[in-house]
Amino acid sequence: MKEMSASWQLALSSLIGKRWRTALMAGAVALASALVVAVSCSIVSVQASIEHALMWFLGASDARIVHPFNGRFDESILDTARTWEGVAVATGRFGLQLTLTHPLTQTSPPDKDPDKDPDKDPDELQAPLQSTPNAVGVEFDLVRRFRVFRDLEGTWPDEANELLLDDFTADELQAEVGDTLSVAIDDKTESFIVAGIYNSQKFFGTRQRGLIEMDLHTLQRIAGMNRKLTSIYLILDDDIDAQAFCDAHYDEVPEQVSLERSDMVRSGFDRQIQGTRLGLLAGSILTFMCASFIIVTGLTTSVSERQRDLAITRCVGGSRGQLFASQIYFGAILSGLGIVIGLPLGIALAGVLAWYYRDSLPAGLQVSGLGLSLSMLGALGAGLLGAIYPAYLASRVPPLQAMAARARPPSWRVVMVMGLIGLGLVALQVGLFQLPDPTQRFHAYAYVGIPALHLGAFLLAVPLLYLVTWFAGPLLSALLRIPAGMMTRSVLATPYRNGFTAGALMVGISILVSTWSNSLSLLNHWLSTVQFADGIAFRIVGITESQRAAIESMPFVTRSCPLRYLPLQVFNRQVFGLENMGPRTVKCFSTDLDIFFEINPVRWIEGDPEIALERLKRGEGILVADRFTNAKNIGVGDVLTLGSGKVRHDYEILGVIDVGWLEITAQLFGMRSTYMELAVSGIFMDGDVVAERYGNSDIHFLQVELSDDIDDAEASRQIMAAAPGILFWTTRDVRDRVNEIAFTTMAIQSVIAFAALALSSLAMGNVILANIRARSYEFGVLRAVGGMRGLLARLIFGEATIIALTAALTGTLLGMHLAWVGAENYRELAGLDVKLVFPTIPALIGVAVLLLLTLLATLPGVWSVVHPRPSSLIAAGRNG
Amino acid sequence: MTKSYTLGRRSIEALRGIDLEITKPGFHAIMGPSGSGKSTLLHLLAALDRPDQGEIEINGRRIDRMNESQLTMFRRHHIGIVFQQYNLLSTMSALENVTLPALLDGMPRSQRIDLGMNLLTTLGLADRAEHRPDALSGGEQQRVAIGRAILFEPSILYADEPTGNLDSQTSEQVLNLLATLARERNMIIVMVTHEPAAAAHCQRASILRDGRIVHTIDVHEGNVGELATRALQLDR
Ligand SMILES: Nc1ncnc2c1ncn2[C@@H]1O[C@H](COP(=O)(O)OP(=O)(O)O)[C@@H](O)[C@H]1O
Ligand SMILES: [Mg+2]
Repeated sequence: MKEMSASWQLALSSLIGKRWRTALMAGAVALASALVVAVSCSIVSVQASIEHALMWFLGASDARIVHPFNGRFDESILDTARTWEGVAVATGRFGLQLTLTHPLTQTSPPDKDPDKDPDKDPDELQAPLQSTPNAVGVEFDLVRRFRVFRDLEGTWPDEANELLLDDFTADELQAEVGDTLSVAIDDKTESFIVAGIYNSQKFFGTRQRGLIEMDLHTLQRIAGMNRKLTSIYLILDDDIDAQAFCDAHYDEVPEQVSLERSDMVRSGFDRQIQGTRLGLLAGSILTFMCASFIIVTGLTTSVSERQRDLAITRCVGGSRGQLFASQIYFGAILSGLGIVIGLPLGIALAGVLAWYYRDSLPAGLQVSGLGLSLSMLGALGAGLLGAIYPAYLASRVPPLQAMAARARPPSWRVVMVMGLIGLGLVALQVGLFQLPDPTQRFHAYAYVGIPALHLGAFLLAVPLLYLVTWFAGPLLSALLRIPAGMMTRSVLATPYRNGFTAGALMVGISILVSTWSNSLSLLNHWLSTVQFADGIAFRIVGITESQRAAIESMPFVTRSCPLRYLPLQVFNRQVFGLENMGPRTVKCFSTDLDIFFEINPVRWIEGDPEIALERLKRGEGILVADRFTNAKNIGVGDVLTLGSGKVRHDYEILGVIDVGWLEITAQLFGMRSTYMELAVSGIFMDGDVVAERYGNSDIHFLQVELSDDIDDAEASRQIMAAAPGILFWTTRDVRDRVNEIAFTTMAIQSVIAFAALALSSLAMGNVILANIRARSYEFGVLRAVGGMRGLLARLIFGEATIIALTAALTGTLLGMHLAWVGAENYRELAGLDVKLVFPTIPALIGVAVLLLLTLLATLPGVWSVVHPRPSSLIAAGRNG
Repeated sequence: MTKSYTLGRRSIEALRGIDLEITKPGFHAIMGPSGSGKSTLLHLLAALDRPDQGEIEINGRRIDRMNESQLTMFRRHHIGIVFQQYNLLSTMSALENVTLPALLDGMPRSQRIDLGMNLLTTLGLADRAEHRPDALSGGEQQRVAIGRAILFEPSILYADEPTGNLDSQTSEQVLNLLATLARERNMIIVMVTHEPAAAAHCQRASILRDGRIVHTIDVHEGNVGELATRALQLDR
């Protein structure tokens, strides 16, 4: 044990001796730790804020009565609920989207002087301001017992014509307490007075839309739905158990309505949290693996560079164990440095983000315990695992090496063993991918397969270096006019560190290739599906009759088809995603099937349209999107049990159709189920059947066919003007949105990939410098016997190019393999039948950047050889 | 004992049957032309390598039978080695280099510093204690290396051409130091050398040729000249 303190000292001395390299390796660990901590803290902060907002919304309520199909129910249920024993307070709510207008024309506020704001068009300021918040009709006297309204300005409304605005809506309308706002209802307008404004503390997702509270009965009247409610919230007496209460009164509410504990809202949310945790775990493993690649490369370089020192230590009585331990301690010190720098850096990074988005994150910065532990474990693992191979190398240095002028030539056996282990790891990963159970397979693959694949590729980089050297070496030598064989020999003199450097560099290329491939595949898939009638109108709380009439009466609208959207749960099986983790909701679209099929080019994949349509109208079955067949091979004849709450029906699948466009469009409009889960895919039913069975006849989409003589943009403008509160997107808009989202995602992924490339290029520069230092004697001799400076520079650059080409080859192979795995998962988990794309241009750009970085990384090395006199190179080589 | 190396398909017999016994403390030289096997012999004697055949006994212990970790401990405590290239660790100061074996042995720091400083003072290097090797002259580096070799007062010190990289004046200092050590500490010092001037400090000299010992001579003032002639002859 006493002997081991010597290892510690040795580690410290080599750490201090090579400060820059230490900094680089510790930096890699620190960066990985910081990344994991920052990402996890950001996720937790966002989740905490969502939870915060959810909890605020639920307030003090213990139970609630809701219409799971987003429909309305009769107010008489509220009367019944009030008679139940144990109910302390019960209040009803009615929700609607409402367009409010602030007529600013006469009284433009003084601080909005147009002269002060030259960017703004003065005419625009003169126009009345509009906003379309979600309006909630509430019982003013009761709602305060449920929720706390923060920083209330003005007074609490109690009149039928008074409003309570949130800060967001007030900002949009530039409204202040006491202002009068108007609401257009059919052809009349009604006026309301702003009684109060409160601070809504919204979180990200809901930022775009305000929330206002107004008198329940007034809103019901405006909507033309007297005595209808969307939800009822209950506060129970202190001694009542919410679950028991809900069970007891379960049968007393109508079939299409359900009574549940308020905290049930969390269930989908909790499932999402679980999902992000697993994603974080898989991501962390990979991040730290890359850090450990840089450590392996750095330490291996140090060990081979310091062979002589190690051998001397052996000569004067250092044991193998001590040398082994000194490298492991070195790794541990790197981990420690990484943690000490990385954790605070990560928290600070998340803190800056939380501060920047402070308005959207009411819960503020949250520190993720999971993230901290993951990054500590990861840093430790990266340091220790990264040090194992170098430690082994160090312990094998024979004492006689102290007398040898040059490092021993690499042994073929080790290269072969390395290649075999690499192939074994790749095979292991392929094996894991064959596991029959998809959930098991997914987990095994994410936590074991992908790391094994990366480690395998890292090891295979060494044999691949030989291949690249043999094939590309002669060509490159000829191009750079280097004497034949010179470059090949010098690259292969140190195949491990060169191969490992290529392995560290490969990660950036692989991220670039795999993410671009997957994103382009998805993009192609979605774009190829977006082909439908010319435009689609949308309103989240339903398009009103008058709005629909307004759109249909436009002269350029030739045909239209109403579509309803409903989240339904699948009860009898998991269709998408992982067992017990993927969402169990599906999007149910219902429509007038005859018109729908008339104006849309629907491709039938399975089933007979004639028979199917007949039976659909009788409510005997459903059509499903082809994603069902792709994912779980569910098709015609299978039965799904669908519903929510108490309502459940069995439906036979009558046909499989390709309607990707509708799914992507619904997704883009941000339709989510009430339980905050993304409903994955679509099923189709007859409109009348749905209205009757699920008690919701709202129309959410109105598909519109436009005549040829009108410009899309113009049509869009006119429709949105004629029916305020409606969003109208043309096919082109949808495609633009898809493109925009895809390219934003790809841009982010590319930044990550290039950052990884840049970081590993530092490792590259380091190895090249070490190589050059180790060989300065040789270079000095070369120059002394008349070798030209240019030749040395070309030789160094040529060697670096070989490493970069090896990295490009390994990275591209790895990236395409990962892309294939990704495409398989899209099919398996989401049912998307995407085609694998080779991202030629991004890959070429990546390789070009890699070569450029390589060139830059060699410059210090080239300088250190070309600049000094040959004599000093020879002298430096002697004493080294 | 014998030792051969294989280089590809070729086998090189570096030592073809050496029989050498050194019993008395003192300064022993091994001379011979380049390639005659001097270094190989020294490595075997210093437990840095193993013979193909034969036995090596030091202080009554058979080092050819020791395992790796026993050899390591034996080297640490009973053998000192000095190289032509000095071979100091470039990341450590003179003091740290001198005390490296003590560090490896787990000696507490304060004790190590005392021991090292005493030694450096004896070697006349006390004011250089904090310098790294690259700030020391060749002679100074070699003296630090000798200090490191004798830290644990081993009974045997091996030196492979310790003056090969030094000018004649510094060489003389280093040789005097070694001779003094042999005399005052009662050590066996085995030195491989090329130079008759270096051999003049020795009590005995063995002359090696093609892996065999061809002469072993007692050196005294009278026959240094003869030794020089023989070495010169052999070198031709
Ligand atoms: N590691 C080795 N591998 C192969 N041959 C070696 C090795 N070390 C020494 N030799 C050969 O053994 C012979 C003796 O070498 P050495 O003992 O170094 O000679 P000297 O020190 O007398 O110059 C030489 O022919 C040399 O080439
Ligand atoms: Mg020699």
